Amino acid sequence: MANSAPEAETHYWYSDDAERERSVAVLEAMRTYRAAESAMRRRTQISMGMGENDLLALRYLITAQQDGRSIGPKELTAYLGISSASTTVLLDRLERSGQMRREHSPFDRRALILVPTATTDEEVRAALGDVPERMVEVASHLDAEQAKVVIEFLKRMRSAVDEIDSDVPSEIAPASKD
Amino acid sequence: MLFRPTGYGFEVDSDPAQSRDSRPVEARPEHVVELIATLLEYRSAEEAMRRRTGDSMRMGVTDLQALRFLLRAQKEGRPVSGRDLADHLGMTSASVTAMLDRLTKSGHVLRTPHPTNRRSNLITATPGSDDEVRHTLGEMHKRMMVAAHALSADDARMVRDFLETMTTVVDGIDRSPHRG
Repeated sequence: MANSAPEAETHYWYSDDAERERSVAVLEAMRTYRAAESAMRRRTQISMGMGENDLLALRYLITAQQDGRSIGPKELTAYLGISSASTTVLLDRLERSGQMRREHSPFDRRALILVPTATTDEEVRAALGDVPERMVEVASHLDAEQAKVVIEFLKRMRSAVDEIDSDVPSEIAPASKD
Repeated sequence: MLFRPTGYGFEVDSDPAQSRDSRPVEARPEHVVELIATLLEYRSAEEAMRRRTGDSMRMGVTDLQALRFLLRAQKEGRPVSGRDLADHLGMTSASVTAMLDRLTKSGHVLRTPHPTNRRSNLITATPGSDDEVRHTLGEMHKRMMVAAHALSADDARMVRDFLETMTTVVDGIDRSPHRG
């Protein structure tokens, strides 16, 4: 890449373009999948075991716990982007099924914190129920090494998505964050 | 139907009865379970993000999609009519009109008379909404591109095949009788 010969440079830019195209194609595939899965859920009303946001909420609480942060209902509500009434219903459900419990904050008796009782990924996964057989089939065709690559990619995509929060007031100019 | 995209061995039998492995998901190998869980979580996380950004901009998902379409068209110098927008979003022109009424009122879009077609309007996003959408989503797109760039050419193809195969499978899942 340090080669400054004109041909090499042309080649460099060419491959850079190709790389960009490749990445865009991957993101496009991701986007199409996302839309297809959402449509399938609407069509079939498949809950995939837990409720739509249960797994997401639980994973959020577990990740926070691993980072040593406590989450209250308000923060969870903001993350999920649902109403606080829906969060209450969701928390009732998780508490009933023994996945999470509400506790008083050690710092503020009036505040509640949400403590996940399933602390490991395996326990969360045990709640993965009703995934259509054929989706599992597709996943089974990857070997452990390939699966790791896809998982890593999906996790990075997820953190890209998770970074976008609702706390940024729209008045802030884009430049102020960079 | 048996398809095998590009040699990564994805083979999906269209007859689920034949290939059915009756083991529950969680009894499958670790990496399979984690893959499925991560995939489903990504989709849910993205839905949550859409709800959050919708809230922060007091906009629904469709409003946001419309604005992004307008902004992209403006960048490329393409004029957009209400009809174009309806086609892109797959909405009826009546619902697009209602949405544009709302977005015009909130100051996110402008309607100007079409230069050649008197019965049509050109729709543009206002500079402010440009900032709003860019600010909210630009960082995210940057991070996504970084994630995609981190894949080698082979891995990128494998991930893409996987997602495309998954999409085809998901598209084929219908109101199956045993799920009501």
